[in-house]
Formats: sequence, C-alpha cells, structure tokens
Amino acid sequence: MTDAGFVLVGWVLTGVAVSGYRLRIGQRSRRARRSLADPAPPTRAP
Amino acid sequence: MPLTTPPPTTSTDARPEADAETGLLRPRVAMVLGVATLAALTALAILGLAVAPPDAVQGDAQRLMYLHVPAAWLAYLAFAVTAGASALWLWSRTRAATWDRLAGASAELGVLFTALTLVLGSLWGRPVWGVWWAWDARLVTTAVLFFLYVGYLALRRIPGPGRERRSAIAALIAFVDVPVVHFSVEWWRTLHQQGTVFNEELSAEIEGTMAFTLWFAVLAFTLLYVYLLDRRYRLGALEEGMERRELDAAIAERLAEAPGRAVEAAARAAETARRRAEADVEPVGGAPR
Repeated sequence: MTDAGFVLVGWVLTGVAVSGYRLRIGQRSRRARRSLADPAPPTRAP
Repeated sequence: MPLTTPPPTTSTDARPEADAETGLLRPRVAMVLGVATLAALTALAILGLAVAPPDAVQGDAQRLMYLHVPAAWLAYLAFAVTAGASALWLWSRTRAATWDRLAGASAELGVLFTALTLVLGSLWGRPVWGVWWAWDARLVTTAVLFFLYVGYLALRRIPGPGRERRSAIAALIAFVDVPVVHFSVEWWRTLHQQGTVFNEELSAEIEGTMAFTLWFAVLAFTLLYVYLLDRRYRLGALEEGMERRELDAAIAERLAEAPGRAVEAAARAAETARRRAEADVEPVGGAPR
C-alpha cells in the first residue's frame, strides 16, 4: 500500500468510528425516550 | 461551559421521567456545537489531506499526524475529566450523581480515542518504521491505558451497592497511567519520537500551514469531544431514568402480587430510595445537573 493509502485508511476509519459512535448514541437515546414516554412501564424479568 | 438546569415542574405530581433528559449543554448550544464540529472536521479533512504540504522526510504518511496527535490529546483530556469527576464524587461535600455520570461518559470517549490513537499510530508506523507494532514503552503504556479503562467501563456495568464508589476509585487508579504514557518517551529509549512541539531542546520549527493544521485539528477534536460528551451524558441520564422506572414498576408489581409481603417490599423500596438520595446529594456551590 502507498503512503497515501495508509492516510486514506486512517481518515476513513476515524470517520466511521466517530460517526458510528454518534449514531449508536442517537439510537439508544431514541429507544430510551420511547420507553420513558410509554404510559405502561416495563417490568423487570423475575 | 454553559450548564443546563432542570426544567421547572409545573405540577406537584410531575413524573420523575419528565426531567430525565438533562444535558451538560443547553439544547440550542448543543445543536450549534454539533454544526460547528461538523464544519471544523470537514475543514480539517481539506487542510490535512490537500492544503498542508507533505513532510520532507515522511511524505504523505505524515498526514496521519493530524488525526493521531489530536486523538491522543482527547484521550488524555477525557481521562482527566473522568478522574476529576470521580474525585468530586468521592469528596462528600461535592458528591452528586452527575459526577458519576460525567465520569462514565468521558471514560467511554477516552476509550474510543485511545483505540483510535493506537490504530492510527499503527497505520503511521507501518510506512515510517516498517512495522505495525513494536514493544515500545509509549505503545505498550498506551495499550495498557486502553485496557485499564475498558476494565473501568466493565466495572461500571456491575450493579449493586457501592458501584459509584468502586468506579470512582478505579478511575483514579487508572489515571496514574496517563502521565506514564506521556513521559514514557523521556523515561525510556523509545522508537516513538519524543515530544516535539514543546520540546525546548529540539526547538523544532513546523512549517506554517502544517502547524496551523495541527492546531486546528486539536481544536476540531476538542469540539468533537465536548459535543459527544454532552450527547453521551444525556444518554446516561435517560438510561438512569429508565432504570428507576423499571425498578419502581417491579416494586409495585411485587406489592400487588403478594400483599402479605408488602412490608418487606416497602422496606426494600425505602432502602433503594435512601441509597439513591445518598448518591444524589447536591454539592455545595451547585453542580451541573
């Protein structure tokens, strides 16, 4: 791989990691908001 | 950093979930920061990949510096915030659930950016050093740092009384490795280069555009850290609200199922409430909610 190849892989990996993390936070937040807005609260498994 | 306060309740029977989502930043500030962060990272990509010249010795491979150095800086910053928040939780006068939540959120970001530092360093090392990995003091101490905080995050997930205390103590112990990582290049002979920018003996001169891009990268990544920290902190508050709700529902269910054991269940609920109140002690002088 050329030097430019290593650089591109590094930048793409950083972008994927950061945006993936941000999306995961968004997904979990939406799920939590939905759960809190649900009038029938969930119960824990025995 | 502007801090939000809980929204005022308009009725006495307001549900606790109503103010479960509390961030470090006001929503409008968080939104502006998100846009600014995206713009800064886009500008950084243009600066780092096209505008800054290639290094005279390393060529294009040196462009990884614009990610590797700020990622390492963010890891230090994130773990310092975790240690500071943990110390504030441990000190009885400032103890508040918000410090524990902040410590956990920042540690997660620290782990993410330590992992990126290691991967980007490896990608940079292959063309420059000829190896993906070397048993070098800087590399090894950074890997140890990564695993220490992965362990810290695992420890946080173990429920039960004393979770906050043991997490805070673990965070302070793990932080000892941060100065070891930083000074490893001075304490031992390493393949990794020594500090360059602030090294007075070296008095290195970085070319104007390269220096600007490096400092801009540090700024852009710091914005990214604050933005992600706010989002992660907010998620922590939401998930704690969910846990409280599930616990309350479970207690109510047990009470309904076995009226004869109501006293026992009520005692357990009171104990839970007492522990929660202890964790939520408001600090003297106020703390972010």
